[in-house]
Amino acid sequence: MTERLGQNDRDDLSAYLDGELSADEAERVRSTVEADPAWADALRELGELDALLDAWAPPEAPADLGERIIAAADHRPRGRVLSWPKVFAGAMAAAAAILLAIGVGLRVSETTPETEREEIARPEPERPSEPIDPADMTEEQIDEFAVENLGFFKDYDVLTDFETLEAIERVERARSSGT
Amino acid sequence: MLRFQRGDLAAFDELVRRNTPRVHALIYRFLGDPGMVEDLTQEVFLRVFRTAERYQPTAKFSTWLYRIAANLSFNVLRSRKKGTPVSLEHLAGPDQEHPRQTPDPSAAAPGEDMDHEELSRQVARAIASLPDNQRIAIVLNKYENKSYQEISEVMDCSTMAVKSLLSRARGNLRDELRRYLQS
Repeated sequence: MTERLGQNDRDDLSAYLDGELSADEAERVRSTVEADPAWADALRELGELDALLDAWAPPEAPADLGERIIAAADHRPRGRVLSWPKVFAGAMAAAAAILLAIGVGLRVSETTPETEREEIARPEPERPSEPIDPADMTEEQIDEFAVENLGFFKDYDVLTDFETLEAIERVERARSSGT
Repeated sequence: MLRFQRGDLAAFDELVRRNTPRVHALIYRFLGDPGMVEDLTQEVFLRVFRTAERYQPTAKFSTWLYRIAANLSFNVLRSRKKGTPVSLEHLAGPDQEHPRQTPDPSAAAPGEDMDHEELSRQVARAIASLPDNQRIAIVLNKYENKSYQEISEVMDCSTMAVKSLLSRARGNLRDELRRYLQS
């Protein structure tokens, strides 16, 4: 008898069983179920099916699974893979290149007459001072550098890294405590 | 989750311990493969670990977790369809290697006192026979008590689509399990 229900009717009955219809829709289904044996049978069948599905219980998770997952996570990099010395060296190199470009530009501007500027194709290269080797810096110095160069790290989306956040917190804590 | 997002690693451990049984059961129901279930459960949490910064506090954490689990399960189900057949031996029992075959007419008839494990296997088999999206919808609805809205967020579809998926899933399950229904 339930075969005469259309797909939309069945969708509504299924949603009614789940309590997902609006008040008006639910009332319409309720009154139809009361008036139409086919709807009543279909609803009863859905209820039986729902009870039948309770029979399926999955096996319990192994007791040590959670600890295994935690152990596996401990061996993985947290957030973005970062090497602080590499980040630092990259930032220093970028900053040195920018300073060199600005410095050369200013010197050319100050010492060269307007007409001669265009003739200077290759100004005397001036080597920037070598960036400090990150390996020689203390962790605190690197943290300070990170805080002073937040813009750089923001640009490179590094601030989502936990190590960076922790480093910044360390420096801020140290500053607020006056050490 | 927010504590972990701020860098509290102990919060991650707590999150894993609290949610592992739930995620394990969910993936088991999605896949029906005990071997893959543990691997995938682990992968869900490792993804949480690696992508914590993408978590938006506006989304319910369980929805985000379920979405990761559903996406990973979808990937496995897809790859199985392309190559390796779905492993359902453990669901079918030792005597039934082809779980989608027509039910054995000599098996227990409706109303008979049925072994609970056998019934559990039949239900598992019926759910495994559903199209992937119907299976995930019914598992979230029936076994995880998720609302249509939450299911739509996990599955990235409309609530109307969820309504239709669930209704069709129930229709298919009714056909598969008809002989166990009283009416």
